[in-house]
Amino acid sequence: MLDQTEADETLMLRYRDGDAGAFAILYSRHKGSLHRFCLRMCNDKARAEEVYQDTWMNLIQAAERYRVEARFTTFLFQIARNRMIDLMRRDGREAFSLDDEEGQGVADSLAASSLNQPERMLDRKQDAARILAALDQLPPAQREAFLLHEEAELPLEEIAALTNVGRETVKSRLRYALARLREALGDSQ
Amino acid sequence: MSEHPDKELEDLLAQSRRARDAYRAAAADEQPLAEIDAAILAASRRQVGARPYDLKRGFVARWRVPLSMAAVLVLGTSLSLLFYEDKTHEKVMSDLPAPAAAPAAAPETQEQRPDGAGQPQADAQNGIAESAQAPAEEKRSEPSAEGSGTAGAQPSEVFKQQPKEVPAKAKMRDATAKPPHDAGIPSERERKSAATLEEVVRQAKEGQRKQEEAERRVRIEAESGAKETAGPPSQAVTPVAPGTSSASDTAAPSHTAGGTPRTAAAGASTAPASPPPAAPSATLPSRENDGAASSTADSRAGRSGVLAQEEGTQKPAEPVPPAGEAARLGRLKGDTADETRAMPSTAAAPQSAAPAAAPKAESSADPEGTTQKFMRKKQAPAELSATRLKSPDAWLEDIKLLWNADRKEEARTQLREFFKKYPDYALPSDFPLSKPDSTAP
Repeated sequence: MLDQTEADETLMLRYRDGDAGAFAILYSRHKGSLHRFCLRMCNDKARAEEVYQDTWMNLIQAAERYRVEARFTTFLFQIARNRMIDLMRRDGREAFSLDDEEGQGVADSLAASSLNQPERMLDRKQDAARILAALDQLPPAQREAFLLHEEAELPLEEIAALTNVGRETVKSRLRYALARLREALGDSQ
Repeated sequence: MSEHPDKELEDLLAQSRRARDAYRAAAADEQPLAEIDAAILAASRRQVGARPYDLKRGFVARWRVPLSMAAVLVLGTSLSLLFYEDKTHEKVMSDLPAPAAAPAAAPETQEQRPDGAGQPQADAQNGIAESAQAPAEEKRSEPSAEGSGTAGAQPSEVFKQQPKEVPAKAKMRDATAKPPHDAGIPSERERKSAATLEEVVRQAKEGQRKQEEAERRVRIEAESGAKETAGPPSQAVTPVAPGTSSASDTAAPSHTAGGTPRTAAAGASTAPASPPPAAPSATLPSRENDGAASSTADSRAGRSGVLAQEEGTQKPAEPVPPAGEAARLGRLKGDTADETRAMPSTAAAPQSAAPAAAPKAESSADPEGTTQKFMRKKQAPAELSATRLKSPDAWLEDIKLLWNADRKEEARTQLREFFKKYPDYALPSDFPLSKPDSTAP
């Protein structure tokens, strides 16, 4: 009855009209990526799960007002990002610093540190730990751009719209993030 | 310029493939907790109203619609029954005032009957007037035959005594089970009102008898006075019989309040040889012919004729051929042998038959008046034979009147006939004649 290949937007519309099964499909599709996004952005599992659960709850409550204006993933991760900013403000932490200079500085420092990594950490099993550690060291804006690109598979334009920056900014952040990760893996040719 | 950066991005992504693969491999096993998944899915179902995991609420949701429909049906049926009962009760209550007004209308109707009023309206309102109009239903009436006047009083009395708390269903059942003239009158109420009805009938009969006797006295005295005078007999009768022939057509059928409609109906059917207008008034009713079916128009004509007879010379006489009159007189003469068949209530008809027939004879085509003389000669016996249908006292009173009118031979003859019928009857002390054995005054 429910088409598994149906677009996310269609499923969301069906859920808005009362089809609970449509939401189950949506959830199964995006629960992993959103959960990882929350984990990488919060650097705290408990906080990440709180953001993750609140994101889905907000999506459920906002379903009645849902209209197809963008990708569903953009809508979903936008909710998660806003919830994340709210939690950081509540905790007194500064929200995402989208300063390019800061990001550039962090990237530079990460790149410098990664160059000092020993070459024996280059095997595949160790690559995961190193990439995750390198990701945690990335500035939030670059990390966010990387995660939105990798997890939500959003194009640069969608990421730019979601983060309220220009497309080139997103591209620059993504470029710096990838460079630092490659450096962490010793793959910086 | 836009293609170059995209190519840059693609090159960058291609160069970073190892890093991206390493990230996906590191994050592949990271999944949210199952409790969080269940909570989120449950919340999504709650939001749209589907709650399959809540068995208690599911039971309520499953039975909500059937229970609602059942409740609506029960309430609707109850209200419908309630309204139906109220409506039926209101109908019964609305029917009650009309019968309650009937007793007041009954005397009025009786007063209107001598003036030639038509059917009793109170009876018609109660749906019982059919008994006074349809001969077939007259046949169904009781043998005592109180007449339409009393029949009209019957439902009125019954309705007056009808309790208001009579169930509507019982009333409807009675209405469907009984004939039309008894529709809506339960037998219990009839029994309750029997005493009242009998009293009304008795009073009506008594009043009728007194009126008839008074008329008879006046008539006989007038005849005796006319006999003494030199004038023709018809002139002695005609002053009290003005030629208002149209009045008899509108005569009330139930003036005598006792058996008159039936008598009229019978009279209408027992004179086939007579002309239609005069035949009912010229025939003597017999009980055997009471049940003969006739049309309503005939019945009304018969009642009109009987009323003319009852009212004596005050009512007009319609032209009757001599042959029919002779036949009528012959039948009157033969009625002396049929005394036992006659009913007291029908005695008024022959009394006025002769006076009513006198003007008819005058208006006939017989120039020599032979029929008139014949009629005149037979008038007194015809009257007396009619009086013999009455009570013994009335008969003796008639004989006494004959004696006082110097018609002594006729008085003796009547007295002999009287004692043939009532051999053990004791004559009053002031009676001018003695028993026929002595035949001497």
